[in-house]
Order: sequence, then C-alpha cells, then structure tokens
Amino acid sequence: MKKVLFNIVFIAMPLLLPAQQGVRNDTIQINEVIIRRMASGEQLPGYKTVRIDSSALAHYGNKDIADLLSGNSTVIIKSYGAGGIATPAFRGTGAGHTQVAWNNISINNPMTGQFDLSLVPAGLIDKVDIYFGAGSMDINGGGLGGLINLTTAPDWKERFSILLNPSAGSFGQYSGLLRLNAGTDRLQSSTKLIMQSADNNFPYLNTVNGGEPVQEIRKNDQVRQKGVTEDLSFRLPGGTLTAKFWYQSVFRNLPEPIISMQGNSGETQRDESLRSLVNYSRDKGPVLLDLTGAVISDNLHYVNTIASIDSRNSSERFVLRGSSELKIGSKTRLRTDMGEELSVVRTNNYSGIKQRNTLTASGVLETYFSDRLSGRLLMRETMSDRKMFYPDFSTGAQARIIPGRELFISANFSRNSKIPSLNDLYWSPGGNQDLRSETSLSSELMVTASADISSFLKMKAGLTGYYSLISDMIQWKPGDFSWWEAENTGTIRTSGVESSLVFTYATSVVRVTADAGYTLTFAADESRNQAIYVPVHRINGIIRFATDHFYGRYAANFSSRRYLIADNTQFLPAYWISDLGIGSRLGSPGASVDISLDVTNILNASYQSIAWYPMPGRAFLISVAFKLNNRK
Amino acid sequence: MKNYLLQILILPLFLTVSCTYDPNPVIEHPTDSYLTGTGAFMVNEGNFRAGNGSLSFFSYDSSKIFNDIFYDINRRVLGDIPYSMTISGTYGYIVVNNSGKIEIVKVHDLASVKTIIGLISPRYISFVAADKAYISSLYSDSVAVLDAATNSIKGYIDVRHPSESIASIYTTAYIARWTGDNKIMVVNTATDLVTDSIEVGMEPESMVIDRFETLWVLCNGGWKRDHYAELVAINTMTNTIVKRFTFPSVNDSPTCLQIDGSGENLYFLLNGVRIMSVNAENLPAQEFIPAGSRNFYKLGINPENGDIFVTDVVDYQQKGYVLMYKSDGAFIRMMQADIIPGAFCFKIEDHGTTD
Repeated sequence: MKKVLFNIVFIAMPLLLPAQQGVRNDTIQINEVIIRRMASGEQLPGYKTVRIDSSALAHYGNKDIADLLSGNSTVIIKSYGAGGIATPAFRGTGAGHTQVAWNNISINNPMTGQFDLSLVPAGLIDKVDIYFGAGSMDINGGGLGGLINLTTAPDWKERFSILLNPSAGSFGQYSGLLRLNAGTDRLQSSTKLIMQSADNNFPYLNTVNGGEPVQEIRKNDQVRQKGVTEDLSFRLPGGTLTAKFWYQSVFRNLPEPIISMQGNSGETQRDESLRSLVNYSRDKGPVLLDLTGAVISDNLHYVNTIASIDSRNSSERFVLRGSSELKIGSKTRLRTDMGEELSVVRTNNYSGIKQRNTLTASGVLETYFSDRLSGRLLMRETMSDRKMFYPDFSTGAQARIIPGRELFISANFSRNSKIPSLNDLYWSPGGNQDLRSETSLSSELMVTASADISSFLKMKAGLTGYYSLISDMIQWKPGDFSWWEAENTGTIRTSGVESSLVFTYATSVVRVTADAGYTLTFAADESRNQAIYVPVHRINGIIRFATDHFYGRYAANFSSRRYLIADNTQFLPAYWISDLGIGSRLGSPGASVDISLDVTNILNASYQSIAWYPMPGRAFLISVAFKLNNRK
Repeated sequence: MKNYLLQILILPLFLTVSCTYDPNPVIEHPTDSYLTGTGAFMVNEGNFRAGNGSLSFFSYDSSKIFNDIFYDINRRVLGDIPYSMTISGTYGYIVVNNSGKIEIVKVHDLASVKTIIGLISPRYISFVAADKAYISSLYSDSVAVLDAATNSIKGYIDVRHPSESIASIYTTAYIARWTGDNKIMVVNTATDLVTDSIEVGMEPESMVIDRFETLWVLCNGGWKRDHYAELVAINTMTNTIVKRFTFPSVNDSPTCLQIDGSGENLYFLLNGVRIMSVNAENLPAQEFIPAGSRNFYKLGINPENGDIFVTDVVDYQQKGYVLMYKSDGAFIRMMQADIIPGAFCFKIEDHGTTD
C-alpha cells in the first residue's frame, strides 16, 4: 500500500506542472530586515518574514539556535536552563504551535509536535528565516504562531575553504567547529562537524532554603553534543540536484528544579537524530519544479532512576514533496504543492506501533497588479489517515503607499490548523483519538518603510498589528481516574503589536548597525488573564560595528514578567539581559585568523526562563577561527 | 535626532543595572494570618514542578480561611507538591513530595524549626511512637525512619516497593504498597522489621483504624481500571481479612478513606462523599454529599466535632475551594484556598492532634 501511494505521488508530481517554490536567492543579507521586495521570487506579499543577520549567525557558531534566537529576535524561548530543553513560541501561542523546518521540511517531533532548539548548533546552519503568523503557511501548515526555517546551502563562489573554530568558555564549556567546503561551478560539497561539551556548573541564587538568597552551584547539568552535516549540490542543465544529511547526538543530565531538595534524581536524556533529503530543483524555463524526498529519524531515551522511568521513543518520518510553478504572463505565478508524509512511532508509551499518513495539496496564486499593488492567495487541503479536514487558506495583499517610495502597507487574513500530535492521540494513558485539530483565524496589518537618509545612513522600520482566535486548543487535564487526558478545551485570543527599527551607517572605513525591536503581546482565554509564560512586553536592541580588522556587538534583551498560573497571581519577575562581543580579524581574504571574546549576561543578572530553573550569570567565551579560503 | 537615538540605545545598559535580585517566582498573596485556636490545615499541592504549593488554615475562631501562611511566616515558598501534614505534640510536619523534604514547624505560629532534606518523593509521615515516625515514598522501595528527638533520619525499612499510606496501632505499623501493587506490609515498630504482608485489592490507596481496632483498606483498583476497587477490613490481632467489599463497577475509583472521631463511620470519595458504618454489611449505594459539578479531590473529618471538609480542585489550574459540611451533611460554607487544595490536618486545642 505504501509503495503504491509513493508511486502515485511520484507520478503525480510531474503532472502537477508547473513550477516550484521560486528561485531561492542565495545572497547573504547583511541586516536583519523585513523581506518585502516587489518583483522578487522570494517575497511573500502581505506577510512578515525576518532573516537573522548572517553576521549574528556566524557570531553564534559555537552556541545553539535557541541562544541565537533569544538574543537576536523577538521569538520567545522557554529554556530549562543552560543546555536544557528550549522551545520557541510566537505571538502568544505555545511551542506546539511553532513549526521548525530544515530546508523547508518540518522537523517537529511527530510525538510531541514540538522541537527542541537546544539540539541545533548554530554552526551547522547557514540561514535562519522566521515566518510570523500566516507567513508560515508558505512552508508548512500547523504553525499557528509561526515557523523557523533552518537552511543549509552551498556557496557557489567557493573553490576550497576550511574553517577550524575551537572555543572555550566559562562553566566547562568547550566547542569545536570544522567546516570544509570544496567544489567547482558544477559541484559543491559542504561538510560541517561540531562537538560541544558543557558542565554548566554555574552559580545561581536560591531563595528556597531560607529567608535570604543563597548562592549555590548548579549540579548535574552536563551536556555532550556532536553533529555532522553534509551538503552535496550538482548543477545540471536547467536545475540543481542536492543531497543533504544531518546527524546529531546529544546526551545531557537533567538537573532538578531548585525547588526540589531530594538530590540527583538520575534524570538523563539522549536525543539522536538522522535527517536526510534529496532535492531536485528545476529553475529554468516557463515551468519551475521542485521535488524533495526526505527521511527524518529521531530517537529519544529518557531515564529517571528514582522514578524507575525508562522511556524509549523512536520516530521515523518519510516525506515526499513536490512543487511546480507556472508563470502566467509577467505578473502572475501559480504554484501547486503536494506533500505526503508517513510518520511511524515506536515507543513504550503507546500501546503498539502507531503511524499516521498525511497528504496535503496546496495552491498559491500570486499576482503583481502593478509596481504598487500585489496580492497572494493560498489554499490548502489536508487529509490525515483518510480523514479530510476543512481547507485552510491565507490571503494577503501589499500596496506601495507613495509611488517611488519604499513605504508599504500589507494585510493578510488566514485560517490555519494544526492536527494533534501523536502523543495527544496515543499516549498511554490519556491519549485521546477523538481530538479535533486546533484552528486559528488570524488577521494581520503591517506598515514597512525604508529610506536612505544620506549616502551613509539608511533606515528601515516596520510596524505590525495582529489578532488571532485559536479554537479547540488541546490541553492535558486531569481526567476521571488517576491520569491526565488530552482534550479540546476552549478558545484563546492573541493580539499584539510588533515594531522594528534599523539604522545602518556605512562608509569605506566602518559599518555600524543599530537594530531595535519591541513586541506587545496579549494572549488570554475566556478569563481574560494573560496566558502563562507569555510576556506582555519584549524589547531587543543590538548595536554592531565592523571595520576591516575589528568588530563588536552589544545586545540587550528585555522580557516583562511571565505569569505562572491562570489567575496571574504568581509570576517570574522581568529581566534585562545584555551581551557584549568583540573580535579582531587578521590576515588576508585567503588566510585569516579571527579571535573573539564574548561576554553573555555582562551584568550578571539573575533570571529564570522556566520557574525554578536558573539561567547562568555572566559567562565568557573565547573563540579562535582559522580560515583558509579560495574563492572564485 | 542623533542624541535621542543614542539615548534609546543606551537606555538598556542602565536599566540592566537595576535587574531583579531574586529571580525566583513572585507570589501575590494575602498578608494576614491567624493561627490561634482550633482549625484545619490544608496543604495546597500546586502544579507539578511549578513550586507553587502552599499551606492554608481554617480558623474556627474567626470562621475564615488564611492562605499561603507558611510563606507569610517564613518568607519563603513551601515547595513543590506539599502532599500531607501531621501534627505531633507542638510540631507540625509538612511533607513536600516533589521537593523531597519535610518542613517542621511550630504548630502555633508556624515558624520553621527544621527542614529534613534528601528524601525520595515522600508522601506521608506517621508517628508510630512518641519519638519515631515512618515516612512513605512514591518512588523508593524503602520507608524512612525518623528520630523525632533529633528530627533526623536514622534508618530505612525495605518494603520492596514504593509506599503510600501508613497506619499504626500499638507496636504494629501497616504500610500500603500502592502503585501497581496489592500488599500491606506489616512492620514491628519496636524493631523496624517487616514481620508479615497481607494481600488485599489492587492499589491500596488509603487506610484507617476503627474503634474495634480493625484496619480498613481502600483499594482503588489501579489506574488501568482492569481490577475492581475494594474496601477490605483486616483484624489487626491476626492480620487476616475479615470483610471484603467489592465496588460494583470496574470504573468505580474510590479514594481518600477517612474515619470520624468516634471510630464508627467511614468516609470516602466516589462521585461525592460517601459514608458507611464500620458495622455495615454493604457498600453505600448513594452519595451522602453528591459532588455535582464539583471536582472533589480530598476529604477530611474533624475528629472533634465531625465536620466534613472536602476540597474542590476545579480544573487543577486555578485556585480551588474547600467546602465545609456538618456531620449530618448540612452545608456550612465554601472558602477559596490555593491551587489543588489537598490533604487536611486538624488542629485541636488542648486535645492533642491528629492527621
């Protein structure tokens, strides 16, 4: 049956002509900006997308993606402390409402429906794009809050380069990154290896044991991580064939919350992932085509010695996706997508092996009516285990307000849905096979502007307001017996404002960027109280400078109080965190040494992201990057 | 313009200096507390790993409930999942399950005396002698032995399974092996040695001893619902089962067996509060106090006046309620406690104490 289905999908793909997801622009963006360019294959008219600055990504090479997003975006990261599980959340939604994709393929765990960003070293990733709200539907469904797309891509200008980047830091932190790129105009290979180790034995304040805060040392928080990625790309006449591979293994001790005084419970977790995909992209001719086949395998082994828990969880996902894009005239393109995903889960927490087969079909119509007005319509139908769902849709439009000026107004309206995770359906006990999908109705309004204030100074700004109504929220609640059960509960409303302002001052000698963002988020159920762990206010600001041989970076992040219970009478206090980084780059373009010093949490603020899991105070990281480079 | 921009960008630097000193959760709570006179303590379990458990006290003098009183007195949180409380003499012992500790306080002002730490998931503490107490554990195969003179752990009794409720009479303690098991371990409290075991129904959850020195064991049938719940009576002289009542439906999951001060009436929760004489020949067919739309969780009977206290946890997320009834079932009052109000411990002035 599986073979037949796969054959049908493969045969159907070419028939779904034409096209693909557009020509991907591999230009490295210098600034974190709202992508909003008329007449480009990459834009999403009417939607908000942000690309993390490439220099920020390089700066976090020996850290993880959770650290990167926490310091460089308004995405909320809920972290169980250094090295602990870290999940992202957008716009007042939960971790299960955030999709994480690797080269456009969802890598959320099918069991939990979530993704732990602490498992991704930033050094293995080449681009990080954030799709807010309905913009996420362009890649995948289910991202009611948004989507984070992690991309690895070849640099076709490279002939040979090698980067060796060891680092050492506070609290027993050691890391080593090796990147090896080699290739020709037709063939490119990019290999990345990383090993990370951290003891995370940092001091923290504990006020549980007495009336006065006591400084203690965090114990049992060690992390050992290794990963390797390989990207092979072949340029063929009219297209590109790509093969990608990613192996990641993480072992960590899980420390107790500081509220516990029973000592080490022997909690450990080992995560092991093997991801591979093959992609063919035809990017010439009237019909563009993009075909992808992927296999994603995740293993999670959780042990709690005291509680005698030995939880073994294994999932495999087989994904086939095909997109075709037809240009209709010079102003319109029609894209059709089809996706087939088979998830198979083996765990001692379900009664038997469970699998789910999900088929999606989408159509996207994008039109540029003029250089002042564009619009987009997406329709998606999902069928899961032979059950059809109500179709999702998204429609957006963008208009240039003043002719010749980079001042745009955009709006979108969408319906997006997320099917229950397999844990929600099958966890024993408590899984509920009668669950309905969570559904979001969202609207969004944006104003974006950019201007050259002088020949040296540029400005970009954006202001977004949104409103979402999410119904049939899935929550685990105590049932009639001694266990918790998954059920569809009520509705939550999320609304908010996001603003950003970027100034860039660039001369032949120095480049300075000042980037500030603010988000106001309301998320509440019928009680009108703010949802737990959703801060109302978040501010981030980054100042960067770079000359030929020196660079520096100062970042500050603010989070307002985060409520811990539904009636909002308990909360984690607000905090400001600031980081500083300086570095020097010596040598020539062909051979260079880059030495940098990072100080995170420079003012040693005490804070917690999850209650009773302290975050580290001031920490230092010294990094040396040796690079040999031969570019075209 | 430039100056203004500079100020905006520099501002976070100065704000960071005033970062919060104490990063732990802040709890907004009432500031008054009143502990004199008789009343009932209630442990509010709070949410798992949220560390928001607390202690409440209902005062008969003022007919009011006072919440979060441990924090009020000691200026620190009680911990994660306070599960039960026992009074011995002038001291109260609060078992904080997921914090792995017992907080010892003076009963009359709640001032902290000592914290016993390093316990593995403790559930109940039961005094088997004036200077000795046993502490059960949800995860450990051993019951800890507390030297009440020094308030330190002086040994362990291997019962070969996690344990739950403990009942004692003379020099014998009965320890229920709850999760996934069906045995009551019999321990000589003079030697701290296991002397016998009694097979009962699946998952013996709670126990009491009546006026005839009969041990009553409520077995809730197990969480998988593949066994029928049972109420079992055991002769404590012979350690043999003398009565065995089986609940009619496999979906019946009774909990929280209690007894009144006279030792003549048993109470437990099953779709409400049910009452049953120790001489009855059948299980009660109907609720004495129906739960209705409420989510009853724990039950307590004032040994002095027979008042019935029952907690309503609502949805386990928001603050719950304590409902109070007279012994004849007449409703007295409803009071808001904290999150997941759980076990009761009665403070009886001039008459000693009981849990």
